[in-house]
Amino acid sequence: MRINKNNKNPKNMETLKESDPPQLKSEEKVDMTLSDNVEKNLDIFKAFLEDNFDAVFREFKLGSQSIPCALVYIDGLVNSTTVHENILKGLMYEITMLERASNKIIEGEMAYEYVKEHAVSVAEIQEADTLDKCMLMVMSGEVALMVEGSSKILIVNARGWPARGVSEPDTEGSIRGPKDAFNETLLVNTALIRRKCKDPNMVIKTIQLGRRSKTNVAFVYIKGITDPGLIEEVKKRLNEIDVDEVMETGQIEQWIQDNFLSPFPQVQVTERPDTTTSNIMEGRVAILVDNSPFALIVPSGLNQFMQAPDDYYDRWIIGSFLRFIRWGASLIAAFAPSLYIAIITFHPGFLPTPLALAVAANRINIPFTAFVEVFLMEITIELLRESGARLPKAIGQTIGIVGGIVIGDAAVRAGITSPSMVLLVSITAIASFVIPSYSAAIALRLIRFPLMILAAVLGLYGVALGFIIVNIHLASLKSFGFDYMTPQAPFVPKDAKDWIIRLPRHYLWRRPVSVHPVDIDRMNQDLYKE
Amino acid sequence: MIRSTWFLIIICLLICTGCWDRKNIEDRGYILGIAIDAHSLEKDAEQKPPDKMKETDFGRIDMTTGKPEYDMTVQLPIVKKSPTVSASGGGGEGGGGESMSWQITQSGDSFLSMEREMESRVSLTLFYEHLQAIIISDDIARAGLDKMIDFFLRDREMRSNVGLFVAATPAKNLLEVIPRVEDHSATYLHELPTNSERNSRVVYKSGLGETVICIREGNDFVLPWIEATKDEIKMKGGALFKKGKMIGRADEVDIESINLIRNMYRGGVVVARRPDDKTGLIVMDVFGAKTKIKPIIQGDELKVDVYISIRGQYAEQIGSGGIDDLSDKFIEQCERAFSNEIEKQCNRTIRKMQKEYNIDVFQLNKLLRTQKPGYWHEIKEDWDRIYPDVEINVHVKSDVRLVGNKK
Repeated sequence: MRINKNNKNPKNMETLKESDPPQLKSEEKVDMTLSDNVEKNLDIFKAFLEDNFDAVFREFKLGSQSIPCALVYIDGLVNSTTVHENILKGLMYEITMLERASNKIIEGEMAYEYVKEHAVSVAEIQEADTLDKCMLMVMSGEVALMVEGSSKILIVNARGWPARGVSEPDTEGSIRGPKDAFNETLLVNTALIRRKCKDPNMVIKTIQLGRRSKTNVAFVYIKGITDPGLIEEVKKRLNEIDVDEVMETGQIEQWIQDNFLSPFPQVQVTERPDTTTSNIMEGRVAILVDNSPFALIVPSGLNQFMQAPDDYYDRWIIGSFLRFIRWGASLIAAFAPSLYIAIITFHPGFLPTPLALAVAANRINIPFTAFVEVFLMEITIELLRESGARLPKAIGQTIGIVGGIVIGDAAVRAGITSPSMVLLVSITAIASFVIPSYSAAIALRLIRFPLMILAAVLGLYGVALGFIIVNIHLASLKSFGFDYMTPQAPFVPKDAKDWIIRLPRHYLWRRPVSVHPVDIDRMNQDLYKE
Repeated sequence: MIRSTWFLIIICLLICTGCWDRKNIEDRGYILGIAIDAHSLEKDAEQKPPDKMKETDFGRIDMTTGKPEYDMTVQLPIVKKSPTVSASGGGGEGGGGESMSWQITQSGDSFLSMEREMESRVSLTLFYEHLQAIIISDDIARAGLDKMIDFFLRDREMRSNVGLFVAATPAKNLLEVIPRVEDHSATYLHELPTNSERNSRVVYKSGLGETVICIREGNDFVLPWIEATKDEIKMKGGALFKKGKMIGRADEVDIESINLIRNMYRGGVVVARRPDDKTGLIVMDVFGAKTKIKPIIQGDELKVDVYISIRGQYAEQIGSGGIDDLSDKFIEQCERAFSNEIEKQCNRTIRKMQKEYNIDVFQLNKLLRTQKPGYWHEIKEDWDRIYPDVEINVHVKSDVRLVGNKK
């Protein structure tokens, strides 16, 4: 066991000695090699687990010879019906009947084999001969079965814990697409992907991350499509993670992303099995984490954050229209406030005369400069958004009304802000909600604050400067070594068919070449090649 | 450390170099119109008590270079009277015959000094980017537009689509007009020439940009002449400019002919006598015209052929006793009647421009320079003498495309 052993800080050791003596005792005093004696083995388990109220140690006798046996499992992680019906009933009752019927006496070393082969009626069993493996299995919700006379421990799969069912996606709604979303159980999530792609070449591999949390992390790819170099890179980056706990895909994302200083997400996050599967089919790798209802998709670029499943499910003209709206919305979300500041404070000549006079009339009683005004309102709307995100749904709606209508109107009446400002801030906020990826939207919302400062200082020149800086940054980003801004920078004409305009399916016969898929065709191209 | 120092320096440079022309939108004074008159503010040397001060006293300027020559009047919108003033301010009620703008007159000898002098009277920073119209008075125009226009071309806030107008002295009366359908007379003026696509009798393309090209190239040009009552403005023909100086006026029919010959005709009405009944009238609604001018040199003689083709709709008939004859023959006769009418009208204008004013308002010089450069080079110096006697033949072809509805 690695428990505590890796704790190299002596100070910590001391505090542990005082606060947590039993665990230390178990490490020091118990011989951790498994023996063929049930009682000894059980003592090892008890040394670790006896303080836990949910740990169950069930000793019983097997058959006519009363061979000592024991079950160890964590209550709550196992399905108790399986334990009763398929394990205990067989071992305690049916095996005795069998002995009587066949006039055969089970004893000694054959007991373990007999139990394994005849008594435990569960499909998935494993054998463990080290405490390490055995303990991990018990903690993951399996049942350890010890039989006198064998140093191996039978691991019986009786997992069953309270889990949420498959429900609709919360953050990525879709009009036409399937309505299922991942939930917190890894097996459910992988099953949802398997349901969508029955290709036996699809590989779901798991590794365990987290020294203490021992979280199962699965990565999914299709052999024969995905670039082998990419698979190696994913494996390498995942294996380099050496931390105590892995709670969420978000933590994995932060460990494996290329540039941790950038506000822009470099890994796509989705809770939709269909998005995940189609990305895998395009030659990308999906990473799933147990206890997280999200999947990570690598490599991913800016283009992917502007895509929604509906783009593909609807006809291409509608899909393209939606893409246009989204790219436009991303520009508005990032640049509208700074453009407003620049025009209001530096270049009123840009506005048509009636509008310039109307805005001037709007602002005539406002005590603040445009920058302060925009800044106050943007902060207000971020406050509203953040408060709405954490509150229960019923109260969240109230906040929306209070914030949107009452505060907006009152701020105008109180002479703090102008009606055109309220309009601008609302449009900016709505535009940022148009972007399908939450993490990309929040990045755009974030960069508008430095852009606003640039606009307040340098006017339109500053906005242009900011635009250039943002673009240089985006173009220099990489996601798992793949260019972030493809297909626009570097321009990849073959991939640009699925960019701002989503061409009809006939023309999308190639997988995106920028992720270097091994097998490039995804259609019978003789029929549809341009 | 060095890197972060550099970073700080760059940030400081950015922040310190910025902001120099920063001004909130409501703190600017949007000059919508400018009227330029010859100096006439009464001079009152003695100091008066404040309650006896008049605007004319404020308008004077202390100068070192001589005596004032111009009175510049600018029109500033009174923004706080706008109906869109936010509720908290209890915004004023606009319209209702009450002026929404403030006309300030300042005298001086240069326009920049007048503008800056004005800023000692106005709390706002004067700003020209929304300038709609410049109205020049008769006497200033006759003294020479080229003489005083420089400021309006050189200033970086001036836009080239500013409308230029000429009016009878004093031009500032035009700014005092309170139009019925707009807040400010200058914006009203700016919109007036847009009707040139329906009414060919107003001067088309008379902005600062086009005018300055004419002045620089030495072409003659025409600017709209405007007249006004208390609440109405009319574009009434044009002011003819030769070598940058106004030399006379053209009536509305002349303007129509000039527009036709210069290929600037965008739409209008042609009225002719009925071919079958001389007491009746036929009317054509023209929706397009195209003009080609061909200079021909025969020996020493210059002859210019003007080919005008107009397209339009048979829009109205008066008289004829209710007979609606739309036969091909009748339409052909009508077309001929329209053509003759236009030809007659153009010839009248050409004669007037050649003989009476000797003004090349059709810009034939430009045409010759590009099409007959060799010839132009020879006669360039004598053009003023040659022009009145150039034979200009107008050939009109009209084409009635539609005949309107029949109910």
